[in-house]
Amino acid sequence: MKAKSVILIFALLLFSSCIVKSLKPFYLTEHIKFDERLLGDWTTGKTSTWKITSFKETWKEENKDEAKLSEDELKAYNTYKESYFVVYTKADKEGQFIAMPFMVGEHLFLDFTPIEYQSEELNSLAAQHLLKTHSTAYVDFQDDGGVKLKWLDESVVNRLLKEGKIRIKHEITGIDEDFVLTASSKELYRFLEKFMASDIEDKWDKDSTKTLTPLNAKP
Amino acid sequence: MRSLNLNSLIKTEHVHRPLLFHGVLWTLAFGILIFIFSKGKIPEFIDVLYTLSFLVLIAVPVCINFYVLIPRFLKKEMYVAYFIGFLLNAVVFGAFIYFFFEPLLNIFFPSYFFISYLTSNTLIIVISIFLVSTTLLKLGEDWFYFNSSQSKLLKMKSLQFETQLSALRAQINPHFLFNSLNVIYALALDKRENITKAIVELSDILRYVIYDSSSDGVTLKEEVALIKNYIAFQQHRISTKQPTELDISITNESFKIYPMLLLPLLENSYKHGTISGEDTAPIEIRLHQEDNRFFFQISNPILNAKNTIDDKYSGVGLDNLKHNLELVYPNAYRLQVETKDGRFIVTLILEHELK
Repeated sequence: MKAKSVILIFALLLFSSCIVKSLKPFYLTEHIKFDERLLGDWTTGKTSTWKITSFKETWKEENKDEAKLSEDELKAYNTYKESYFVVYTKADKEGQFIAMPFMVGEHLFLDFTPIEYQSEELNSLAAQHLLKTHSTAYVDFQDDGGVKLKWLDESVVNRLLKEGKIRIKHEITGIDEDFVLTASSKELYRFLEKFMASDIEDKWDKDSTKTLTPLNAKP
Repeated sequence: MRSLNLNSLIKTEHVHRPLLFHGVLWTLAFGILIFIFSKGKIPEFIDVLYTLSFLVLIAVPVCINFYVLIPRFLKKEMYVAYFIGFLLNAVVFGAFIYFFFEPLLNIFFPSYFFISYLTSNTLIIVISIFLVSTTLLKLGEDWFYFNSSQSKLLKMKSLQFETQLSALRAQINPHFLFNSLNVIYALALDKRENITKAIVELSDILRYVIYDSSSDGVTLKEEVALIKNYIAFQQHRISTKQPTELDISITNESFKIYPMLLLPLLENSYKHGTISGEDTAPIEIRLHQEDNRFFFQISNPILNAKNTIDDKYSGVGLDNLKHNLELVYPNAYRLQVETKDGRFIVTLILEHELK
């Protein structure tokens, strides 16, 4: 039971259990496009803050002596240099993410994957069983300077699956029967293309949408 | 006798059943592909749509292969041209499917998400395997029909062979009967006393002709009896003082030969080598058999006699004999016809016993 509660805690860290999780990233490298408009500090409520910085800049600050970087570290840098480093804090619980911006047609998306999260309560062995999956959110810039992050919601994909209108690799796994996509990045990207072009109803679930308003967003 | 054109007959029978073939082919393809596309899970409607759409597109290069490339190149043994054509067909339509399959699906089925189906590499593999396997199926179908038509051809050849033989026999019987009745007629005109004996001998000969000649083979014992009967029967007609010379040497009386080989030669000799009531040189007959070899020679003096039947029937017996020998003893007989010292000599050698 304790393990279950741990998983539930982890799930809460990822905002909601309703977002679609994937083993593979949703983007293809050729579609990555960094957008500076997202940089800055944002809030989604009284106790929720978002600190979005450039991964490249953050990396440079933390690793000023590049000569000391290992091959793996350099590889990681090259992989994520066009991404954002996101620190999301809610009720004093902090989660750190890499958010990779990529274009689906004319639409900007972010591919989220956690780096670290506050896990004092997690048993180390239990923590090793947890998998860092990917989620994706459509970035919808608002006229008032805010940004809506609309996560792809599990209920929408499940509805498509239930209606037999989609064939995409996925698994229902774990004791909580979590839904996880196992399709390749190419397939996931194709899905997003088709998803954005489709006129399906209730494409974005309100529970999986975060409206970010700037605290001191960069001009 | 004109032989049947078997090839033309077989061609009319050599009809493919495209509906059946394509029914089986595409049903099989649908079954296999939907299993692959649904990844072994229970197929859903979206899988059916995807599979049918794929089959509609792949049907074009498959049909080009079936109805253009295979008949124009492969069946004419133009292997290089076929190989190039096959590759071009595969590449052109493979590229079309590669680039346009998904957009077409999105146009025709906008509310369906065909995501985890064929990736680029597997699409190329599936198209290649599909074209190769359908080619093999088509060749298999052609082979099946070819085999079937060959079997029919053999059966028809056998039937034709039988028909020819029975037709030849049917020609001999009335021919011989016609000659014989003329002999009886001649005896009756002369009011000969031995006419009854002649009728019995003719009856024996006819029994041979009607019954024994229908069998697959006759023994030399039966054949010698026929010859002796025939000579005795002809004696009534010609009443010559010089009897026919008969030299028989047989080591195996059960040695079988094809029926009605010798009677036409006897008929021929008596027709041209005897004149009723006149003493002419005798007809000489030699019949030898040893091991597998059969030797028969008959000679008669050339008298330019016109006996019993019209010229238009003359030579029919000898022609029929040649036909029979060609059919029954191909490359294993020798029939020699020659004139020497005022005699007409026919020699027949058979290289093996009738099996």
